[in-house]
Amino acid sequence: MVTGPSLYQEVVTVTEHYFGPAADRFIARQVHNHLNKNPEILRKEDLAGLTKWISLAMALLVDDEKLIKKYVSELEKLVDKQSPAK
Amino acid sequence: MNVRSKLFFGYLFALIIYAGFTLLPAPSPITLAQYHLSALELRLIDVTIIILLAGIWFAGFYGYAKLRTYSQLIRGSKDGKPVAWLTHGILLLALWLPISMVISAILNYISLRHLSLLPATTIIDNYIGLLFPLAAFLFISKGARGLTDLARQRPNFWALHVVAIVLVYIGLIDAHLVAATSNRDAVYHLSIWLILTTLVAPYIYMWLIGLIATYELYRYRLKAQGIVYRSSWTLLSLGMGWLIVLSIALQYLTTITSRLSSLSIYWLLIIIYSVLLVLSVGFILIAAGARKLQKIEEV
Repeated sequence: MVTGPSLYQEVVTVTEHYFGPAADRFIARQVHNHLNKNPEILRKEDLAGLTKWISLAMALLVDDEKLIKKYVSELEKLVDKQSPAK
Repeated sequence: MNVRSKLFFGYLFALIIYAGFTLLPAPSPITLAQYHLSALELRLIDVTIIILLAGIWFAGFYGYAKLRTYSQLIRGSKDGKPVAWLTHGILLLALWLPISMVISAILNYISLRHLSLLPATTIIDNYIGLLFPLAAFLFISKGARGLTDLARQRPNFWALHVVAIVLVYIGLIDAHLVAATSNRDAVYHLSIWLILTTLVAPYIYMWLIGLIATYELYRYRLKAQGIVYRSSWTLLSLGMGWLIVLSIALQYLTTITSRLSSLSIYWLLIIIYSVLLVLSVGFILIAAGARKLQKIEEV
C-alpha cells in the first residue's frame, strides 16, 4: 500500500516556502519545544496549537503581517486536508 | 576557555601590543617636521586611530562570533558545510586587520632602529597584508559555491564575463599604478616583475574569486527557497561584497601611498578616518546578517 507523506513532512513542505533550508529545523524545534513531542508523530489534533506557536515565532522574525497570515492559512488548509470526508 | 573568551582576550592582546608599539616609541622627527606637528599632537592623532581600529577589530570579531554561532546551530544540516566555510573565511578577514597591523607596527618599530632592515620589513608587511585576505576569500568562495550548488544555481554566463572584464581593467589600472609610481622602491622594495607576479597577480586573483563569491551569494539570496531565510542573507552578502570592494580600494591606496605623502595632515586624516569607517561597515553588515540568520534558528 502506498502511503502519502506524514503530516510533519507536509508542514515542512509548506514551511520551506518561508524558511528554505531552515524549515525542517524550525518545525522540529516548534513541535519539540512547544508540543513536547517527537516531530514525526505529529497528529492532526496538534496542528491548531502548532500553528499558534508558528505564527508567534514568525511575528518575532518578520513585520509583514500579510506574510504571516498567508503562512497560517496554508497551515490551516492542512488541517482541512487531514480531516476525514463527511 | 571557550572560543568567545579566546577571541576577546586575543582582541585585547592585539590592541595592547598595537597601542604599545605605536604610542611608546619616540615619533620620527622627519614625520613631525613634514606635517608640522608636535610629538603630543601626533600621539593624540594615533590615539584617535587606535580607538577607531579597536571598534573595527571588535566589529570583525563580533561578526565572526555571530556567524560561528549560526554555523554551529546548523552544523548537521545540508547548508551547514558551506556556511562553515564562509565562517572560516570571515574569521581570517577578522584576523587580517589586527594581525597585519600589529606585525606592521612591530616591523615599523624595528626598521626605525635598524634602517638596513627596512626593505625586509616592508616586504614582509606587504605579503602578510595579502595572505590573510587571499586565504579568507578562498574559503568564502568555497562556501558560496557550496550554497549555490544547494540552490542548484549556476552563475549566469554573462555575469561571469562582466566580472572578468571589470577585473581585467581593475588589474590593468593597478599594474599601471604600481609601474608608474615614482617611489616604488619605498613602497615595495622589490623589482617590478616580482611585484607584478607575487603581489599584483595574487591580488587580482583574490578580487576575482571574491567578486564571484559575492555574486554567487547574491544569487543564492535571490534563488534560495524561503522568503524569510532569503531576506536574512541580504546583509551578509552585502557585507562580503563591501569588504571585497574595499580591499580593491585599499590596494589602490597602497600603490599611491607615495603620492599621498604630499597631502596636508588634514586631508590624510580625512582619508584614513573615512577608510576605517567604511571598513567597519562591511563587518557590521556581516554581523547584522549573521544575527538575523541566528534568530531563525533560535525562535
